Amino acid sequence: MKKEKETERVIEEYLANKNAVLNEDFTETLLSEIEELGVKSEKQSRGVRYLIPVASLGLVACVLFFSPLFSPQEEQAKDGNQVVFENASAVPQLEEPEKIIIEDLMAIPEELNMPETFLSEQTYDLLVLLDT
Amino acid sequence: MQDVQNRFLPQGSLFAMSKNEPLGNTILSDDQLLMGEVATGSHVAMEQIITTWKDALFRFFDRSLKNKADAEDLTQRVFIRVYQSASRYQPSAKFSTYLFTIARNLLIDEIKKNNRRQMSIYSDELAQGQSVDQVDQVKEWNEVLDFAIKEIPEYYSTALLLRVQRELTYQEIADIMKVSESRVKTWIHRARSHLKKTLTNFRK
Repeated sequence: MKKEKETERVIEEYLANKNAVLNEDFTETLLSEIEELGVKSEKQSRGVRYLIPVASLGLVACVLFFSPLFSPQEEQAKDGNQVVFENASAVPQLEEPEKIIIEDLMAIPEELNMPETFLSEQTYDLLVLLDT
Repeated sequence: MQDVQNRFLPQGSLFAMSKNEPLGNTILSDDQLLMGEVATGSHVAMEQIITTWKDALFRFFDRSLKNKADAEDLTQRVFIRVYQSASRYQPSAKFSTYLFTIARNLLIDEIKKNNRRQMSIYSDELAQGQSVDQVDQVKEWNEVLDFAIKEIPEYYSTALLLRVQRELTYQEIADIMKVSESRVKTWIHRARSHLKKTLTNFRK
């Protein structure tokens, strides 16, 4: 019983760890480190503060510089689209048989769509002979 | 250590309030008021917080890691994190809960980093078995307990240390560890049993 109580006491004392002490200069060192951190973050925020007006000025300048170049083209494109649409409306509607003929013409057989193959010299000679 | 027990803490930032100024049932603790000052850049307030809590944190880390250099480093890192997050601090819980939540997170990271190294160190120490003549009995028992505490999971030892060192309630420990109160009770009981069993076996 006595031994058990002693064991418990040892455990409690061990866990409490009251003898553990920090270095004397702990607070001082830490405070100077924190001060450094504060200075760093202040510098960074200052840098950002200077950067924001410069960046926004640059952005505005870019917008002003490029906006006249883009806008006429856009207008041209708009006009172009309108012309296309207008032309499209002006095209006369085809009759049904004409449509079929055009579709047949458009449907190119796959063989013709293949890249041209070059014949050998002997074949050309033979072709010339046959032609004559 | 400032006693902030029995103080019901408010929701949201109330740093404009003066110390002990009642708001219904709410009173800000000294530490919470100091945090308000730290948020405005006061190094004097930060110094007061460090002075108040440094030993408590160091003892906690020292027992958890059993490495003084690491314990000191982690103590330092807790305060740096407190300083950096002071502007975002909301006194919605006890300051000690806030502080030891940070401490526990850092401890878990550290244990993950050093897990293998620590295990081998402690095994080696025990294997060498320092002679009883060289060290007194209590020191030897402490070494046995060092080994025993390393054998239990981090959450067992953290719960037990918060209970013994900080005398926190089960609910406060549960808040820090983000688990239920009953689970905390179980962990503490198991941790104690393991330490007791190990030391008893050693003393037989």
